[in-house]
Amino acid sequence: MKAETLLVPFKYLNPSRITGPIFEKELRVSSRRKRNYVLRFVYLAILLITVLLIWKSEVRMSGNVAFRVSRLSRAGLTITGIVVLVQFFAAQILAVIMLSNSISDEVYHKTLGALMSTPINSFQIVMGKLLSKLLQIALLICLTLPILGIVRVFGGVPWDYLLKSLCVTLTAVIFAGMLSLNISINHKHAYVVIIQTVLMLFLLYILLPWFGAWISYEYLDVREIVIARHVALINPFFLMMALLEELFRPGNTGISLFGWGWHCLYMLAFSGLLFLRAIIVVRKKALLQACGQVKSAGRKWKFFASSSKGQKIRRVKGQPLLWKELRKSSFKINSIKTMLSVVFIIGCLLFSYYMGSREKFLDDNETHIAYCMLFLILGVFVTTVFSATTITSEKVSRSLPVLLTTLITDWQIIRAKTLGVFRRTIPVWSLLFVHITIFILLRYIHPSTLLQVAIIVFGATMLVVSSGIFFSSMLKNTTSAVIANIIFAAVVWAGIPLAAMIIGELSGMNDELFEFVIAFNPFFHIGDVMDNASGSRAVKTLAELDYNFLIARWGYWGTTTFLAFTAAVYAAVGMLFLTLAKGNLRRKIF
Amino acid sequence: MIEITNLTKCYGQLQALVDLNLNIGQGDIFGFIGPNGAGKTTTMRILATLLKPTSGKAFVDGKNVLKQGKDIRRVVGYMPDFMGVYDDLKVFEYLEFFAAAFDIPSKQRKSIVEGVLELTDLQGKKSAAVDSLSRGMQQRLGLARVLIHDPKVLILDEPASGLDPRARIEIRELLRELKKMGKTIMISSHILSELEEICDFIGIIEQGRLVFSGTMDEIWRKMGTHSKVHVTVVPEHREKAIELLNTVPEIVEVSDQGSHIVVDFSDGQVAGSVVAKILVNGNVDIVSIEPAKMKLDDAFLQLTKGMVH
Ligand SMILES: Nc1ncnc2c1ncn2[C@@H]1O[C@H](COP(=O)(O)OP(=O)(O)OP(=O)(O)O)[C@@H](O)[C@H]1O
Ligand SMILES: [Mg+2]
Repeated sequence: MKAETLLVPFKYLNPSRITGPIFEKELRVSSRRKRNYVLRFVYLAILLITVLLIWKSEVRMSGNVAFRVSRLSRAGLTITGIVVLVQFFAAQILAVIMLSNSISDEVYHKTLGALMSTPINSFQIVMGKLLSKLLQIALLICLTLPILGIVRVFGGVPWDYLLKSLCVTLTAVIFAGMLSLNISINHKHAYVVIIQTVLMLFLLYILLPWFGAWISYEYLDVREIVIARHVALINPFFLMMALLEELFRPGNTGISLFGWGWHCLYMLAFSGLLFLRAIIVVRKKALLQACGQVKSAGRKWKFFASSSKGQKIRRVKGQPLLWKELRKSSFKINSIKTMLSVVFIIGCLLFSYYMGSREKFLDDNETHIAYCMLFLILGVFVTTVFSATTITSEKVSRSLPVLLTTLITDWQIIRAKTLGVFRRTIPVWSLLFVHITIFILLRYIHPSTLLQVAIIVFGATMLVVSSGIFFSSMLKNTTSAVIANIIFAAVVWAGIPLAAMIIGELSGMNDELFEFVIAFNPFFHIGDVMDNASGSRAVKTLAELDYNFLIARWGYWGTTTFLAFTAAVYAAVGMLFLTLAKGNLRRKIF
Repeated sequence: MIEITNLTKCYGQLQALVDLNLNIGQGDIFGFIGPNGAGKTTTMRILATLLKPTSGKAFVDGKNVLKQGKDIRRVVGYMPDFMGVYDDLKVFEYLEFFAAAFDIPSKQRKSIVEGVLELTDLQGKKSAAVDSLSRGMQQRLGLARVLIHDPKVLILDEPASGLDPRARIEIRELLRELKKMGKTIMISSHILSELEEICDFIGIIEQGRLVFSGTMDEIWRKMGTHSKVHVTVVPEHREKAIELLNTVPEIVEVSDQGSHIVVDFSDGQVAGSVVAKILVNGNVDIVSIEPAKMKLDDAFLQLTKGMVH
């Protein structure tokens, strides 16, 4: 064997080859983006505030020295745990978002073909994209190191915890990013990629392990701890929880000890496979593009394609933009892939129902709280993402200027976009309503909840849809708008309650503030509604339903009125956002 | 029809338009020329009410762009330099969509859409998806869209880019047709020879300033091209011809261009006849004498300094 062939792998490992011009371009562009600085600032601010609040609530300067020291180290543990956890989630979400348009950008600006005619190869394209984004995320993680360093001074936080959690976070980030990058090769719109990746992660990290664990526990008689260890090997979420538990109660689980190193290796190996796939597919795509064949939008399933597409021209009816927005649905079942995923999702759902009936927990109200909460989260998430893309997508495709020179008024545009989002999110929301309807028919859920859930969903969507349209009218590109809207929703419904809890703790108000804040929170609403009217209570009459809502006992109609009031408040805030959006519409067209 | 006074537009520090003044009469075709980044698109966007000027005024059909946006949109058809198309509409649907957007009653829409499709030669693509069209086809679709509400004023930003030679000629014909219908057209282009043939007026803009505006004839006069004569003689007599021409007092400069001799007069009136007389008297065999015709491209090069900011 010649020496040269032996050197081939090293050629690929040469740093300048790995990074290449794409990497440099990405770094240069990202250093010009205001959004990255805003993001870093917000991230750091949130972490610092959390740390300070916990610090103040945990460390009350009273009692003797020994007591104070022990509180100090407890505060240290709490802060570390929270920071590490926040970092774990935030870094993965960021990786997904940042890489969601990495390849599609090049594909749809038709630069991929051009890149391929230069000495750059697809390895460098993928590597450059990946490394540049990872570097930014690594930067964010580094920002938290000083905080953790200070906290460690309080004592009690073992080094190896920090090390392990950092490794787990990094490998999880790489995996999530690679997944997003892979999906972005075939999808033009960043939001589609984000949603698909999140669903995929949900499937991989929650649905499959849970299913596997159940099978092996029920049918294979595997011991729980063994199952847990195996799940931890491939599931960063599970491992992270185990690590956290170990932090507070050392020597408790023994799961993380068993396999965190292996876990990281596995994750890297999976990412490597995804990386290889990306290189191959990008190369194929680029060659196609260089030959001028961009329009191969994937294999269509003939049967569905002919029925859903057809040759018929549809006539415009009513207000044109409204017509245009309402005629498009979020997904058409026209490819094998969509068909399979729909079948898969429905299959999972039915399977979980089947299991529920076997294990007899379908008549528990907790079951329905969990289902409804999950569906609500999913619906709100999808709505949040969709709404933020409405106007930016017109800007990006440069069709907004043309629209603005017609006689369609700004309000009509805003209205059509709003209704369009409602229309497009119907499939997601139908999960929630179909679930409720089924179990109303089976008499596991009280029929009266349908109205309440509708009100809750209306209020929540009004808020995120209009804030999404607002961000979308304000910002230039879709990704920024989506990030902004997700942050907004997270702050309103998770950040504020958390802050209220901590402030309440601090100021000695106990739970009053927290309870006031969550009284307006749709996720708590749906939990309470299901708590009151599902399970064994489902068969009672309305009058018999001894309604406990949050802190009050308002009865059914009182509660419904309150929910309607909340929805009205959200709708009013929404209108405010829409008014602002209308003002922005003509300001930032190009 | 279009009136621009002291129009200024700044993007931060950059002055894209500086005190621009322009008047375009009803039924004129106005050609807007300038190097890249001169401010053509900016001007057109302001006229189409998409951009607010920093200062100055602009009127279209007597209506103020700042205050009467809606009225202007009714009479103006604006075709942007780069147009996005919706990816999920068919050609017919796309055009009908815009017909509806201009408040055209639904009964008339079908015939109007058919009409513009025919005008732009797109009938065959009626049920094709908009985003499957080629670049040139999309350009035609854009043109069809502009015509859909029968606007009095057309503002076309580089409508011919991406079109094949045949389509270019067709567009030219179309514009002539539209002119006959009494429409006012403002058109920008980099392909100057195209404007030469159809425009009544030309405006040359550079760095946001109008460096020239007027009719075609005025351009030629300004360039002084009428005082130049191209003389071609049989090769053996060339030396002698140059010698002879140099003796004439009205002639400022004689230069040998190889194939022909360029003769420059101080005042452009006598021109050809003087040259002919002298050369015939000196027994020089003349092949041809013709007044120099400068192409618009040359005028463009001469008037602008080729600075790009
Ligand atoms: N949105 C913007 N932000 C900042 N500067 C801009 C913007 N749009 C245009 N400019 C600047 O204004 C100047 C005029 O641009 P404009 O697009 O009007 O030129 P143009 O004459 O249409 O050029 P071209 O022939 O290339 O189309 C350019 O220097 C350009 O860089
Ligand atoms: Mg331009």
